[in-house]
Parts: sequence; C-alpha cells; structure tokens
Amino acid sequence: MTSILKFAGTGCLTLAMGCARAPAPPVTTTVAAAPPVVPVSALSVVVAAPDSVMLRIAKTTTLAFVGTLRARDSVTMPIIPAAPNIWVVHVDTVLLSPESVGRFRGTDVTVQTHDSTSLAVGGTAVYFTHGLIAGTSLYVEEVGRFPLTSPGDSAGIGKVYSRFFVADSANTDDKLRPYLVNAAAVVIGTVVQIDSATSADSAAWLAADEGEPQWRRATVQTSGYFRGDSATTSPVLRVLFPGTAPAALRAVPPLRGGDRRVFAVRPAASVVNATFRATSSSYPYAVLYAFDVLPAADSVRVFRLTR
Amino acid sequence: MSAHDRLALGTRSMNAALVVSALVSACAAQDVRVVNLIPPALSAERYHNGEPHLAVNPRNNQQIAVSASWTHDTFCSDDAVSVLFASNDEGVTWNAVCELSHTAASWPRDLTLAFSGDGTNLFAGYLVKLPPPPATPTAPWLWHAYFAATNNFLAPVPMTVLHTRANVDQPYLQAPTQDLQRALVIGVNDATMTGGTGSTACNSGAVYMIADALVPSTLAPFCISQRFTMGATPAVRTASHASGLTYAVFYRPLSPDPLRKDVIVVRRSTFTPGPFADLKDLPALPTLDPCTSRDGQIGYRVARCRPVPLGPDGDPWFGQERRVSSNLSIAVSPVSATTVYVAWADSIDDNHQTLHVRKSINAGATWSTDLITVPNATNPALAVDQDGTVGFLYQQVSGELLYSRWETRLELSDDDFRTRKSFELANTPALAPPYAWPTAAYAPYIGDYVHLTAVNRTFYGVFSASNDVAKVVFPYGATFQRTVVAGQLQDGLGGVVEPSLDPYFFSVKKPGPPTLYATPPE
Repeated sequence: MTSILKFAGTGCLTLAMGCARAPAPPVTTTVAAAPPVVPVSALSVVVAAPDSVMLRIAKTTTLAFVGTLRARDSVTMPIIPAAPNIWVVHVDTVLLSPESVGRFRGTDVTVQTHDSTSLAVGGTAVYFTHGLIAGTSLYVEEVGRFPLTSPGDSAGIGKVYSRFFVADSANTDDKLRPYLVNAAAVVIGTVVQIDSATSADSAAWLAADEGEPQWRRATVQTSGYFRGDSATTSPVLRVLFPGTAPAALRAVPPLRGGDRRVFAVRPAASVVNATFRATSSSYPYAVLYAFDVLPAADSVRVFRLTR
Repeated sequence: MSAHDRLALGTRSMNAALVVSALVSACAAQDVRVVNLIPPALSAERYHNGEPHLAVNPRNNQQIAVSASWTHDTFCSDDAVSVLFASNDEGVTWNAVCELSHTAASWPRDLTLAFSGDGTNLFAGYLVKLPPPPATPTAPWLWHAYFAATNNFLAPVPMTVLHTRANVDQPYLQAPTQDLQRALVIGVNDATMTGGTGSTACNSGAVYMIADALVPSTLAPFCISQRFTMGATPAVRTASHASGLTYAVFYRPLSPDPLRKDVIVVRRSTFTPGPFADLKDLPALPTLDPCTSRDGQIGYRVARCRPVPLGPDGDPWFGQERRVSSNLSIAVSPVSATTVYVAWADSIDDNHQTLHVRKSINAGATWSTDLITVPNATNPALAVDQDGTVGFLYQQVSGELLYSRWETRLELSDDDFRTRKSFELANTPALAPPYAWPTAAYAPYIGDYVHLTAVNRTFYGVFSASNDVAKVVFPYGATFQRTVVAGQLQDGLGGVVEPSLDPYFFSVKKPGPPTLYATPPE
C-alpha cells in the first residue's frame, strides 16, 4: 500500500502572506505507507492488538502499581468504613500515577477489591485501580489484578504492563480519532511567528463567552499534511490558539515559536467568537482542544488514524 | 518529615507581626483556624484551585464540604468524576473524595454547594461544557448546569445528577428546608430566557425554585428583572431565610453603556410559587435622570448607575485577577428575616474596584448608605450568625506589581461596622505563581468568588490563594496537610513541587455557648 503525501516547500508562499522572499514550489512526493516525517514516539509504534479484558481495565485505570497484600478487611484511613473485601496493600513499585498524587511507593494504600479469594496475605500482584479518596493515604478501587511471584518479578510485571500499554494506547486512539477525523485539516509544521496580543484582543475577549480563552495568532510553516484540501494545506497556515486556558475544557497549551507539532485545525468560526474573528480574518483556523495539537513524534500514530 | 506530617505556618514578617499585635486585644477570645485543603496524598498537586465554595451541615457542623474549580485530575475514575473536599471533624482534616459527576470532555466549574436545611443531603450546582449534537458537529459547545445530590458526601460515590439545563452560567445554589420540604433556590444567568442575553426587560437573570430538590424536574426560571436591561445578568446571588423569604441581588446593565449598572434586590416567598415581585423601588421622583431618581418599579435599586468595568484576565495591576460582574453577596440574618445585607463591587472610586456593604432592616424596602467600603478588593462574601453578628469576607490587593499581595480578611461586627473585629486570615503573594501556562494561566486567577457562612456562633469560609510557602504569611497560623519541607512544597519523596493556587478553609469561632433556634425568631 502506498499513500500520497504532499509536501510544501520550506519557503513562504506569497508576499501577500507577509513573506519576504519568493516561495518554493509545492512538492508532491509518493512515499510508502509511513510518512517521511518519522520521529517516532514510543506510543506511536504500538501495533499489537489489545485484548478485551485489558481494554476494559485500561479504560478506568488511573493508578497502577505492584503491591504486596498486608492485611484483609483493614483500612489505612478512618474515613473508609471497614467492610469485607477491603485490603491494605503495600506499594512496592508505581507503574502509573496521576500527576497530583504524591509519590506513594513504599506506602500502604487501601484497595477496594472485588475478588477477595485469589491472593494470600503476603502475596504480590500488579494492581490496576482508580482513585476513590485521597487523604493521609490513598483509597483506590481495583479494576484488575494480576498475581506475581514476587515484587521483583520483572518478567511478570513486563508481561502484564505491556498488555496494559497496548490497551491504553488503543483507548487513546479512540479518544484521538474523532479530533483528527473531524478536523478541517491535519498538518505537521513549525510555529514560525506568534503575534503580540493587542488591546483590541482584550476587548474582543471581554465581548466573548467567559468560557473562551484569550485567543492568540500563530503562523505555522507546514511541511506536510495528513488530511485536508488545497484550501487548508498551504505552506503557511495561520491559526488561532488559546493564550489562556478555557476553564472547563482540556485545552491545548499555548504555542511557542519553534514548536514543531501536528496540528488538527478546525474552522475558527466553530470555536472563536465573532468579535475576535472580525479582527483576525486572515486566520481562518483554530486549535483549541488538547488533542488538536500533538507532538511531532506522534506523526506515525496520526498517519495511522487518519487513513 | 513524612507526607503525613503537618506544618503550622506562623507569622514570618514584620508587617504581619504588627498586624497580629494590633489584633490581639480584639481577637484574643476568638478561635481561628486556617487549613490548606490539599491532602497529603495529593502533595504533588500543582493545579489551579480557584473559586472555592463551601457548605456546612446546619445540623452537624462537623460535616463540611468544599469545592474548587479546576480540581481536575485523573485521580478519579475515567475522567468523569472529580473530587470534593470533605471534612468530618469541623475542618481540622480534609480528604479529597471522588464524587462530583461530570463528563469526560469537560471539568466542572462555577461550583457551589449547599446542605439541605435538614442536613440530610449535600447538593452541588456546577457547569460543564458539552459538545454539540452529532448533526451539527461544528456548532459551539454549550454550558450546561448540573444539579446533583448525595446523602453521604463522605463516601466516594458519584453524586446523582437530578436536574440539568443548557445554555446557562453561574448557578448559585441554596437549599432551604421547611416542613420537610427540601427546596433548591438557584440564582442563574439563563441565556434561554426571553430575550436571552440581548437587551430586553426580562433578560437572562433568573432564579430556579425547585420545590422538591430530590425529584428530577424541569427547571422553570423566574425572571428577576422587570426593567429594560442592556445585556446579560451574569451573576444572581440569593439568600433564603428559614421562615420562607428569599432575596436575590443582581447587577442590571444599563443602556447605552452596559458597563454602568444598578445593583438591585428582589424578594419573594420561597415556598409559594410566584415572581420576584414583593419588593419595589421607592416612588418615582420628578426627574428624568434614572441615576438620581426613583422609579417605583419592581426591585429596589440599592445602588444606581455604578461603573462596573470588565477587566482582563491576569491583570498584573490587580493581583492577576480580573474584574467581572459577579462580585455580589447577600445575607439575611437568621435572627430576623427582615434584616438583610448586600455587598457589591464597583469602580466609582479612584481605585481598581471598591467593595460596598449596605443593610436593610425592613426586608429590603429601604437601605442604608455604605456601612463599610474596601478599596482595591474583590470577592465579597457576607454571612450573619445566630447573634446577628455580620461577617464580611473579602480579598484585597496591597502593594504594587511585583510586590503586590492578596490579603484575605474577615471583618465581624455587631454594630453595622461602626466597630469591628478584623481578622487577616492570609497574606499571600499575588504574582506567585505567575499567570503563565501551565501552572496558572487559568482565568480567573483566584476566582470570581469566595464563600462565607455561619452556623451557630462560628463563621466558616473558604478562599483561594497562593501556596508558595516561602512567601505566604498567615497571621493566625495555618495548617498545611500537603507535604512541606524546609520552606518548599514537596511530593512526598523529596521532589520539589511548583507553587500553585490552593483552597484554604477557615473558621472563626466566637466565645460563649451556642444558642440554638429551633425556629428562627421574628
């Protein structure tokens, strides 16, 4: 299977776009299935098929660790009512943890289990869990458990976690795909210019839904695209991006000059207020959501998901 | 020091020491507690926890719940549940409990909490932003208000969402109870109202009155403005008295300049259906200037034609905080349903923003002049305790730019602020953390509101401020639950955590035995 990727030249297209020199002509190249922009991230190379059990586990897991069962029917915090199937587990190794959770390796946590018979006190397992209460310690609910021979059973840990890794990547693909499929264009390029905010920009923000960010303007020098048509894939793409985080949304962090990224752009009219658009008519596209801008290293994954 | 240790941060500057000594005589009898709410197990947390709210169980003041915007994280399950902070020991210790239901696509914001008057349920009102229907995938996402309940807020069980409404903003929740009837009173900016956010008499300012909070219902908005209004009414704050009166206060944007506003109070019966029509302005005077005349229409104009500017997010001249039309508070005395206080912000004076407090002793029929004004301040919150003592909480900027600080202060008065006891609860840097992604680019910076309430003789409140422990000063001390070592936030295993904004709980307990009113006296 082959695909056609069209690569623009590295120069600017027209003087009207503010470029100081003549543009390089667009280049059409026929390449093999993988695009030539291939700084491949670890996540991008996952190709194994996930199993259904691990897909379910990965969907609800927020903390994963290797732990040793200390005691049954016991708790680490008084707020947790004592009940059957609640264990105290010593955390030997942390495999996955939310950013906010302090490093809890070496501590005891309370685990709400749903299968209390398959592990003896002193037994070790990989626990896949999600949080219930954070206090002086953690209270988590188990969504999957895989016994190990010992806390140092690295082969067992690796086997289980690689299955989880495949499943988690597949779940992320499912979240990412709609953003890519519904984008006006998906391109890879480098931020070459960010305009300074003006007083008119502040005025436009004041007229907007307070849930909107304060928008900024960026010029992206594109070097290839995954989706789009001629209207969206010029060598220079002008996009609006959030200069602040809209509070309720998972928004993309503000862009910076020199950022090389994959951009899934959407019509500015779909997310940017009319007042700001009126002052930014040469910026027809916008990025807003966290999945709208990805590391360039994810280009293989993007390529796969946009086929 | 382990993650479970606590640190009491005391006074560490000359200025603060002076403040403390000046306050000692006035406040010696009070029991003041300030607690940073981030629990030890979340010591690596560096999010922007602004705009906090609080509810104290009126039947059991050991039980307290706190919300804060952007307490978002993947700690809870599948991104669709967030934490509330819960205490079962009157605010001494706190846990982050996964119980706030929302959607995977949107974190909750504009959160407010209320216990039912009988103490059996905790209610939460909040916004989520939902995507458009599949048929119109490029349509803007809409704010949806969720109203949810739990009968055990200490348990990590997702709250039941009972009522929702699309295209609204700033739901502000109260939950009065009468004769076992658990009501919800929700001030809201409802863009679906007649005229929506346009220029009309019945604009977006509304109140939902839900007779039985635990029964899912269609929310019926009661329009609160009968006058021509130039645009949206972003914030509507309410106060309900146990005897069955509900007050609401809102800004009315004026024509042709909607940045000039009236501050209007309306009233109705809580449990008898009907419009907010029980309160009228004084009879019209023979002048055409609406800024100096009265008009006799529904809704008393406590202040008229005040400049209430919008300010940009991250304003370095105002402690990185914005100025918006939500600096409103109203409180009714539990001692008398006719004694009402309002607070608002405007820029009528020569400073960024001035807070004003006024009082009515005849159920809003007439109002005092300013009892107290506070320059360069935001986030007013009022409460009245069982003795009739009024509490006034606010956050005030002091210093210039790089030296600016947020002073969070509670004033208590028994004589309409002719004399008062002043508690500087926190003195925190206004530029640390900086208003810069990713640590604090969220707007608003400290939030558009704080909250204060009173149960018996104790005032309980919550505010957001910097947790930069090298620069914060707490004149009455503060307990940090999260790990602090050698003047730094740490993650539990020695890693340094960047400063961010945290919610802080406080309580100020007046001396003497509580007097409990089974039925509030009139």
